[in-house]
Amino acid sequence: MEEQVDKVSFLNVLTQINARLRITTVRLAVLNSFFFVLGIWVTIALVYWQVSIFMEQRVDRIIDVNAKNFHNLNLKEVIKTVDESVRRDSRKIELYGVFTNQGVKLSGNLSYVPSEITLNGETAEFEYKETFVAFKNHAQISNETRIFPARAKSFSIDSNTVLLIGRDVSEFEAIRKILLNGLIMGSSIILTMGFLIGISFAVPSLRRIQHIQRLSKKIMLGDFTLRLPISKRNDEIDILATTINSMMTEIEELITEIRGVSATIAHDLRTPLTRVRFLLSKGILLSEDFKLEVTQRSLLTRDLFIKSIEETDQLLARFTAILRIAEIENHMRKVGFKNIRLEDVLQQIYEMFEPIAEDKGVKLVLEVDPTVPVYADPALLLEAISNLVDNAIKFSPTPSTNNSGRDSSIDLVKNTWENSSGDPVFIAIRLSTVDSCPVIDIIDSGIGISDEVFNALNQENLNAEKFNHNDYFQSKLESPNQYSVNITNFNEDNHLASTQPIHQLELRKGSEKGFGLGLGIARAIFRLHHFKMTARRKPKGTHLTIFCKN
Amino acid sequence: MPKVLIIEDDSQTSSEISSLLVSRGYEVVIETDGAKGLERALNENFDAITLDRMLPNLSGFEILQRLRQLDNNVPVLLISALGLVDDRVQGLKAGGDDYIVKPFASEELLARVEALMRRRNQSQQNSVQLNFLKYDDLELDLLQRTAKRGGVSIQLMAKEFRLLEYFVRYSGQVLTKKMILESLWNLNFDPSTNFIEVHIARLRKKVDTPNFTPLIHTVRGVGYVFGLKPK
Repeated sequence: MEEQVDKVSFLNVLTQINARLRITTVRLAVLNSFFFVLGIWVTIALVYWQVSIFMEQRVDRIIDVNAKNFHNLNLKEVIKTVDESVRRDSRKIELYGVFTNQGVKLSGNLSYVPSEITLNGETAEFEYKETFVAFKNHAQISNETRIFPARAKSFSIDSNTVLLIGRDVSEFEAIRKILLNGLIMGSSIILTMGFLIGISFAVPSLRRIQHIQRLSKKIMLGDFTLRLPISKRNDEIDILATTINSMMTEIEELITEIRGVSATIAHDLRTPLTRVRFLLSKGILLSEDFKLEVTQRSLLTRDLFIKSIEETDQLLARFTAILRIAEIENHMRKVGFKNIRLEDVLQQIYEMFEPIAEDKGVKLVLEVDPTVPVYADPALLLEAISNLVDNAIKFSPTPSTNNSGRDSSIDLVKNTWENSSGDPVFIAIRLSTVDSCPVIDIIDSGIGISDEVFNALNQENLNAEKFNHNDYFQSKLESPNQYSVNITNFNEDNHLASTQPIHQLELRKGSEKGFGLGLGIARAIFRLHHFKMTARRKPKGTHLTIFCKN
Repeated sequence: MPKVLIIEDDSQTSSEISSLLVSRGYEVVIETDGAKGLERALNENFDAITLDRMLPNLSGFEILQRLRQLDNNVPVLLISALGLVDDRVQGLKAGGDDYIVKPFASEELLARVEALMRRRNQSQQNSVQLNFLKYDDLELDLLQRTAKRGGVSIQLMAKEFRLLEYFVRYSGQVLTKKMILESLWNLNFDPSTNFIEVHIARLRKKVDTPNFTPLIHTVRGVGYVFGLKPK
């Protein structure tokens, strides 16, 4: 049992080590060390190669100098010189040998002729095997053998004898070993250091990642208010965390919106549905009410049916509007987008709605200063602005018969927007340029917008302001009087109580205030275009401004 | 007798559509299954098909695509609960001639089926594009974009001319407000104002002057009909 536990904990340790090894920092540190070691190897190999060549040449030169001492000497003199040289060489690195042609040794410290040596040839390197008697306390113990590298060349003394002159090059081997040992030790130290540095860097990162992992799990469980920690270092994890946090904010807003929409659907669609159900139940009771005459009964039933159909039509309109808003907001395709002239769109809207306004006794005014083209979907813009104008006309009060709007005079220059009796009966659509941004104003003299819609619309733009720092937008908000329209009662102190999406609020506003579902649709379209819409209140009516800068 | 195929899996909806069309003198065939519906559409001759988008075995889109691939050009009215603009565009691109969203008024359905058949008959009769349209004493020059009634020219705005042309082309047939909005203004929303009424009233003032017999008639609660004798 204990063995099993040990095995499991050992496996856990292995898994953890494996996990740490897989961390990018560790990998990078080890890889870095590896390439560093490789570089050292290449450098030392080059040094070794150069040193070897230098030493070989040096040894060969020494052999040649030694050989000069034996020029024009007879065999006897050669043997004498060899014996002298061997005796004089205290370091025992010089090698000499006088041999007969049959290989019998006559003198010197070499006992045989190595096979690598050719007579009167170039200096050659070979492994020399030396056998000697080992003594211990002056008693012969055994014959021992020493093998060492050497370089030598041979010369003919006479027709029967050969002289070998060489040198022990064990020093080469020693240097080689020193270099190799240095390499192995150095490499091991560098690799270990690299690994340790990697681990020391990786551990804090790993801790942060584990923290992020824990937070992510909590977020996955539904706490969308959580955000990932961001340090002051602004490293790659911080960059990633910032991006994820922005994404979380978006998701949180969307979820809030979805929750809001669900609540709105439940609240605002159930109420008219209940009314329909009530009307239909009443119809059943009515059809069974035999106290009434047949004609009266059928007339009353018919009325109930008509009311039911009206209620359902209203329901459908709300439903369609909600779907349309969702469609626009999800509509990330920008197929219909191109550079368009806003004046063309506004002209089209004017032609569409001028008769409608006139019919209602409202003067529709179009004032256009050509602006730079904007990148937009003309069909969607037409839909958005049509909705606003349509609403403005719908919620404009019908002028009294004595003072029809058709006769009212609107003086844009003198800032008089009211007719002689003081009844505001106009809707102005204006296109201008403010700080190189095309701006559309829709100013009406209708019943105004509800507090909720007003707050939600301006709150949204103030939020956008915090992120975008659009000075032109701020300046427009701060100096409303730069227009020829006299805008008073711009409610800057308005308490921004609600952050609910406009289309949810509109469903609740009932009929006491203007701007129907169209405002929600328009807002969604402008948001897709990255245009901003603000609302301002006038003593009578509303002033909507759309900043058409993508 | 015109023959219409209804491919609809909801029995209540199909029987409602069926009784509506039968009351107008159409012969009706109902199929509740997509695959069977396609087989029927290919093997028999119909003047029009009303096609639900979501069907068992084969979707409305697949049926439509197969029909068009086999060069079957029977007019198809797509009926769907999916009423988003993208859905409509998708339906019309797939080869549908018109698209109606559930729930719909019975008059709306009838008007659209009739318009489909009218369009088919017109295209069969006039394969060559006409430059002139004439109805009684009203004449339209489609090239010059001018209109005359009783030889006297009528000053019309561009949109008014298009509206009148639309009326003349579908003379005698009920045209709902929705149909007019979609065909003339391409608007994806129902204006809350009396948008259509005002535009029609303007056109009326110019076309149906007191000296002439009225041609534009209101069909209460439904739309308009153009012609000498409204239905």
